[in-house]
Formats: sequence, structure tokens, C-alpha cells
Amino acid sequence: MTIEPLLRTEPELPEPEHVWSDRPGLFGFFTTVDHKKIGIRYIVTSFTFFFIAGLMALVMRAQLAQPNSNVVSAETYNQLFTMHGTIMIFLFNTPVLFGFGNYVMPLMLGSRDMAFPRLNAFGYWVFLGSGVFMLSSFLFGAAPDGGWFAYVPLTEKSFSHGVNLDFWGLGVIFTGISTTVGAINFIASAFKLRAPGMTVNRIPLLVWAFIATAFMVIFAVPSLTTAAGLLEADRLFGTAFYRPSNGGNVLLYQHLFWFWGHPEVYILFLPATGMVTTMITVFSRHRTAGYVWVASSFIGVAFISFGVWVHHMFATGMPTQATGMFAAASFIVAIPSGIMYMCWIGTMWGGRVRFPVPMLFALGFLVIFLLGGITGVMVASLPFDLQVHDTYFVVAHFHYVLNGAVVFPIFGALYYWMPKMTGHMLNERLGKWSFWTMLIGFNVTFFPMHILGQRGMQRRIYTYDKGLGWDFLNMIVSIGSVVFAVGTGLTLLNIAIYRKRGAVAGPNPWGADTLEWSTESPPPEWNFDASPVVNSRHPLWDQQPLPYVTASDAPLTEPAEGPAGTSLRQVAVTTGFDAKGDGHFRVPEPSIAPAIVGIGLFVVFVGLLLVGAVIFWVGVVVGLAALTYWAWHCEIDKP
Amino acid sequence: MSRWFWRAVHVGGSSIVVLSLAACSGPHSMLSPHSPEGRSIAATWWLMFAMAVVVYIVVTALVVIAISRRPANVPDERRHRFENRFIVVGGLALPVMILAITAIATVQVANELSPASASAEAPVQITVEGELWWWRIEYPNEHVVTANEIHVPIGQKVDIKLVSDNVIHSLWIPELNGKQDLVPGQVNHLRFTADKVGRFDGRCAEFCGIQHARMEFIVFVDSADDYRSWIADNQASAAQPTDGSGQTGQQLFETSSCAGCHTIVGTSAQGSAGPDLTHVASRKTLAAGTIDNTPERMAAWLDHTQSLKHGALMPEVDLTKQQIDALVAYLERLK
Repeated sequence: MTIEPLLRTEPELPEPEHVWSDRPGLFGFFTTVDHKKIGIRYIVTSFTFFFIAGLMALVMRAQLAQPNSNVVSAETYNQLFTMHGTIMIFLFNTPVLFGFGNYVMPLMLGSRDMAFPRLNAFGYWVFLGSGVFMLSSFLFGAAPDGGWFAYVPLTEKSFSHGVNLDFWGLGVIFTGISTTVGAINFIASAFKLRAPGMTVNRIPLLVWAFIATAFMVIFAVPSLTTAAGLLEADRLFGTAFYRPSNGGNVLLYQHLFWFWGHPEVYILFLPATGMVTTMITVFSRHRTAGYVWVASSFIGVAFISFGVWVHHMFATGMPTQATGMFAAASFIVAIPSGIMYMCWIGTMWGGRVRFPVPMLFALGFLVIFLLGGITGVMVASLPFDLQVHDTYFVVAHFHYVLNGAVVFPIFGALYYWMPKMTGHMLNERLGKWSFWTMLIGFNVTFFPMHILGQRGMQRRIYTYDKGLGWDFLNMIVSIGSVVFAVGTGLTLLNIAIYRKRGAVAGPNPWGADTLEWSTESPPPEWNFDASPVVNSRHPLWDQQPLPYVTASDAPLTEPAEGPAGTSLRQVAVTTGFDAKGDGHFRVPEPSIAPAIVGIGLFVVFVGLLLVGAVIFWVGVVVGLAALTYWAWHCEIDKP
Repeated sequence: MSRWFWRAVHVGGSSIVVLSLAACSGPHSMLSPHSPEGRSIAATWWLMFAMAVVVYIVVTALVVIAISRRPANVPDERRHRFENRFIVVGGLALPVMILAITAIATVQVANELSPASASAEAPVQITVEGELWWWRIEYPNEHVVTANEIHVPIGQKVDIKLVSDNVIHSLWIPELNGKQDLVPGQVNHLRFTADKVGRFDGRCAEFCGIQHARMEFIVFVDSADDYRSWIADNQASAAQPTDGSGQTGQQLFETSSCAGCHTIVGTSAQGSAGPDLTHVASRKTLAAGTIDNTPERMAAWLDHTQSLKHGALMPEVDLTKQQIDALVAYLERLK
């Protein structure tokens, strides 16, 4: 299927290369607003953090392989498990999914960029800055050591004197900015930048997942910012929000934290299920069974997930009437997952399934998440939770969910979309080795943890005694973790070797149905020469050839003559519900402002960390100056 | 492909069952309970486990069939209807049923265990305070104070009042009941009725700082007579040393920094930051399960506290070998 370069042939228009290309060199690198480049940066950066946190896990497993061992000290161990969790949640899982969202969503919608490209660039710089901020704590030997959820009063100044916890508290507030602007961008893009004809019941399910996720982010993150903000106020300025001796309340922190924390699980999980839905549909070559069911499940999960947070607090001594309500909600949140399973099975049932590497990861997800979901229902059962809460049973459960049911789809997504990003296929054989090693390593690592938890092994202990019935299983777990690490390494190797050398992908190597596969691989900076016109949920399957907006379809096309001195960085805007033409949106030029504001924010947070007024105000001034420049230097307002 | 897949499913499934059954053994397992509370929870687990195995096998089988069958050529409308029924029955009706069963079992057991339904006038009242990183144990009615060891009589309802004035801890005895947090600023309760004489290990389950891993305790379930005599022994003041080195030890204890943090009833040592040592020699372990309570280990503890339990609040005091021997001679007779 060739794309008619409709508008490029218009003689009075400039070549798109001139309009869309970034400036060459380092300046171009820091100024780009291209959603594809930003998306790939998110993915590369977050995978760097993934491997760093993974190595931390291996050190922990070396320490726990045998009783009473001395691989690391208690302090180091506590820093390692704190940072492992913090990095995996804040600096890997969330941003990597936002990276895929950034890269894939505009392409899937048939658009040329996100709704707020500069905000998008800003989001990345903030993410990078917060990651560097938190990880730099290791350089000062002051890594956070209060657990990834940093419960007070342990994390108050009186019990944690150093700056360790400030790196954590300020760091999560910092990343929250990135997540929030990303979510705003997703929502605006999904509602306003869809290809003409992509009505609300034709939106790809992955995009539905991102919409639900983005709304959850917007409602949940303020709670985390509040939790960490009040903690930092206590720590830096001596307030007493969480100090019972001065009238504060310890459990307030837990409520605020988990009001974000539980939706966060689904913020990670929903995009992953969206990816799985995409891959299962494509590799069954069958339209998704129960499209409306799946989309409704995403939205249902998004709502219910805000009513379950107390199941992290069953042992805090709340009355049974209260905890019972949350247990019930936690059971109910399992129902949408049940529906999704039947939709996935129904899709495969109706089609003929192929098994390339991305599909293997999707199937791996199915067998892993099934177990993680079942144990999730178990821990929602109040009395049982009182036994396994804070034990390795729970560690096993959330690794089945957050590692198995999120990381496996992410690896599948790498194999699935990498050909679009690079134009080259990854190696299938190496990919299969990687998948099977990961699957086996994963289960050998995390399955025995269920049993350890029931045998009384609690979380977050740097060592244990001989003869408790834990020795053998811990050794198995440690061996499994090495196997799993090798499996992830094989994918890294695959990408390193075949990123540029793999077979040429062509526009649509998987025979997929969504719009990103209608353009070249890798896509040009402007994605599509003209907006595709959609009249199906699976446009590339049902619409042969795919129609594009033509010059006669005003007002959807670009104006034949732009006003003097402006570029034609424009994209069609459509109405939110039925995707009818609604004018144009001029995509902003590349700008250095987002990066500078990011640097300003970084300095602000360093100032807070050191309680250094001068540094703080320098950051504020730099940030505000760049923000002012950003607001003034806006192409849209130029005549 | 599909043969490999079947094999993987087979191996995975059977190992899940075998490993899970193996979980009931083990010295501190929640699945070998010795109290009605523990048994109710274990029963909930076995109910959920049975349903989980069935669900796992059925869903995995559906996945395997779905990926290996050849699609039948049915008209779109019929297929659509089939898919919808499949989703409604498999994704909605059956999960709701299974969850309802789980929910009913949950509510029943939760009510049994809830503090509201337990008798407030339990015959045995104990207060446990979480410290950094050990447990202060008090029997308010019997005026007994000890550390890291709880004695309870068999067959009697025990009410443990849980408090902390530092960070959050969590008291957990897997064989007797689920855990409860010790939350600063509030009072929680944990109740159980042990029905087997013996020793049951417990530990702190909520991360509480550098020595969270070394915050263990022991629950001894005694016969009624043993319990009474243990209480009587622990109500008594400390034994007076009769030999020379013991007397030197006592004098050293009272005049050195030891007395600033530890109490020994019947002497001038009245500190309260550290564990009460009036009957320290009767305990099985030192430093909340860190080391066995033998003269050699106690000497080691006094000599290099921080390398045995790094970060513990007890400082390493400069003591000569003779001073340590005298202290050990004194303390190890405080039965």
C-alpha cells in the first residue's frame, strides 16, 4: 500500500523535510519536540534505569541466597531494596509506558505529533532530571533507605537523620510533574488529534488504555505529591503532619500514599494490557472480541481502583466494617480482568494464531498474570492478608503483577514496535531464547516466594538464620533471578546487534491493523503525508487501500498557502466524539525552553534538598525566565 | 510450538501443586496453626487455593485450546453472539460467583477474628511495646516486665495490647494468628487462644529500620501450672549474687552506664531505655533473637555489640575482659 504524497505535489508548498526537520547536532538534540524522538528517549532512559535496578536485585539475591551471609551490610541492603522498588516504579515502569505511549499514540491516531509537543519534551527532561536526582544519592552514600513507600515515622527526621529520605521525597514530587504533564498530553491528543472518522467506538484499544491511565494519573498523583510534600515539610521545616507527639497522624501518610499507590498499580497495568490486546488481535488476525467490553473494563478498572487503597493497610487496626468495604471493592476490581481474559481468549479462538516473539510475550503475560491476579484476590481476603501481608507471599504477588504482567508486555512491545522505530526486525531466534529464559527464570525466582511467605519469611530483611525452612527455597530464588537476568540481557543483546542490521521491516511487517503501520518504518518526521481517513476499528485490514484526506476535504487539509513566514507544521484537529473535521492545529517549532525549564526545576529541587536558599532562587529565576520565553516564543501566536 | 507449550503448561501446573502442598510443612508456617484463629485463616486459604487451582487450570486450558485450534468458518453474526455469551458467562458470571464465595468466607472469618467479637475481658492481658529493635513485654495485672519472650497459658484467650512510641512495627506469630501493626499514636489489639504447648517464633513484619531483620521474639505456650510458676518467678526481685565475681558484676552494673538504660528489680539499676534484665538468664536469646543466651555469647555481646547487631542502640562500652567476665557471672545467674 503506497501513500499518495498528496500535498507534497502542490508546487507552492515547501518540502516537508524543511518544515519538520530538527536542527542538526546537539542543539537539535536539546530542542526537538518530535514525539517519536521523545518516546524513544523515554524508552532508552527508562531501560537504563531498569537494568540498574535489576542489578540491585541481583546483589540482594546474592545476599539472601544463604543464611547469615555478609555480601552487603544491613545499611546497603536497606538502600538497595528501597531504590530497587523506587526506580522500578517511578523511573522504569511508569516512564517506559509513557515512552511507548508517546511514540505509538500519535501514529496510531493518524496524527503528526502530540497535542502539546513542547510540554512533551519538558516531560522527558523532568523525568531525566528526577532520575539523575534520585540516583545521585548513591554518589553521596546517602541513598534512601526507608522502603519504597517510605512509611512515617521511620522516615521522619527523628529516625532518619541524613538527606537520604529527602532524595526520595523530593524525587517523587519531581517525577510526578513529568507524569502529570504526560497524562494531560495523552488526554488532549486522544480526544482532539484522531484521524477523521476515528469515532469514539473506533479508537484503538491501546489508546483507550492510555486514556484511562491518563485520567488515573491526574486524579492519583496529587495525592502522592501531598503525601511526599507533607513529609518533606515535616523533615525540612519542622511541621508535624505525621508526628503523633505533636498531634499529627501516622496513618494519614499511608492513606495519602496508597490513594495514589493503588491506582498506580493499574496505571502501570492498563497500558500493558492494552499492548497485550493489540498483539493478541494482530497475531490472531482476528478483530478483538468484545471491543466494548475491553474498553469498558479499562474504564471500570480506572474507577474501582480508587476504592481499594486500604487493602494495603489491613493490619493497621482499622475497624472491620471499614476494611470489609475495601476488601469487597478489591474483589470487584478483579471482575474487569476476568472480562478481559475472556476477550483475549475469544479473539484467539476466532483467529488463527501466529507465534512470533511479541505474541510469545503476550502469552507469557496470560499465564503469569493469571496467577498474579488470583493471588491478588487472595490478599484482598482480609484474614488471609493479615497472615501474608508484608511477607514474601506479597513480594511474589506484586512481582507476578508488576514484573510478569507489565514487564513481559513491555518486552513484547519492544519486539513489536522496534521494527517501526528502527526500520529493522529484531532477531526471532534470539528473541525466543530471551523469552523462554525470562519465562523460566521468572517463575523459578518468584513462585517459591509464595511458599517462603507462608513459612513466615517477612519482607525487607537483610539476613535470616539457618534452620527456619527458608534456606533451600532462597537459594532456588537466587538462581532463578540470575536466569531471569540473563533472559533480559539476551533482548538487550538482540537490540544491540539487530537494531540496524536486522531484516528490513517495511511499513507493516506484522500485517497489523492500526494506522502506525500505514507509514514508512521508521516514519518520516511528519508521520503521514496526509491524514488517513478511518471508517473501521481495524483500518488496515478493512480499508484497502487506505484513503487519505485530499485537498477537497477542507477544512481538514493544510491550507494551500500559509501566511507569510510560517511553516506548515500543522495537523488536522477533529471533534472529540465523532472525529469530524474541526480545523487545524499548528505544531510548535522546536524550542530550547522546555530543557531550560527542566534544568531550572532540577536546580530548585537541589536547592530544597540542601535547604540552600540561593540555589533554590537561582533555579526559580532560571525556570521562570525560560517559561516566560516559552510562552512568548510561540509560533501559534505569530501572524 | 503447541506441543512445547503443552509440555510447559504440564510441568508448570504440576510443580505449582507439588510446591504448594510442600508449603504446609516448615517450622513457622501459617499453614500449621495451633489456635482457632490460625485454623480459620488456614481454612480460608485452602478454600481459595482449591478454587485457584481449578480457575488456573480451566483458564490455561482455554488459552491453549484457543491458540491451537483451527478457526471454524462461521457467519459473523453467529460468531459475535457466541463471543458475547462467552464473555458474559466466562468473564462476568463465573468470576462473580467465585468472588462471592471468597467474599462470604472472608466476611465470616473476619468477623470471628475481629476485636469487636472477642471478649474484652480476656483472662490474659499483655502489653507489647515495639522498641528499636526489640520488644518490651508487660503483664500489667501481674506486674511482670520482660523482653522478647511472651508466656501464655494454653487454652486461655490472650489479649495483646500493641503500642509503640517510635516507628511502626508489626507483631506476627504465623502459627497463632495474623499480624497487627504497632502504630505510634494509637492502640491496637491482637487476640488468640493457643491450644498446643510449645515454642512459637514471632517476628516484626513491618520494616522498622536498620535491624528490622533482627527483631524476633518467642511465644511460649505453657500448661496452666507452668504459666503460674513462670509468673511467680518473674514477679520476684532479682537473685542476689552469692559468689565474689557475681558481686563484683552487680556492683559494676550498678555503677557503670549499664544502669542508665536497664532495670534490675531489687538493685539500684532503674534505667528504662533498654530491656528489663531482672530475669535475663531465664531467656533463650539475647538482643531479640540475634544470639543465643549463653555465657560465651553474652560476653561477646558485651564486648562487640555493634558487630553482632549493627546499629543497635546499645553502645559498645569499654570493658576489660575481667569486667565482662564479672558482668556475665552476675547476669547469667539472674534466672
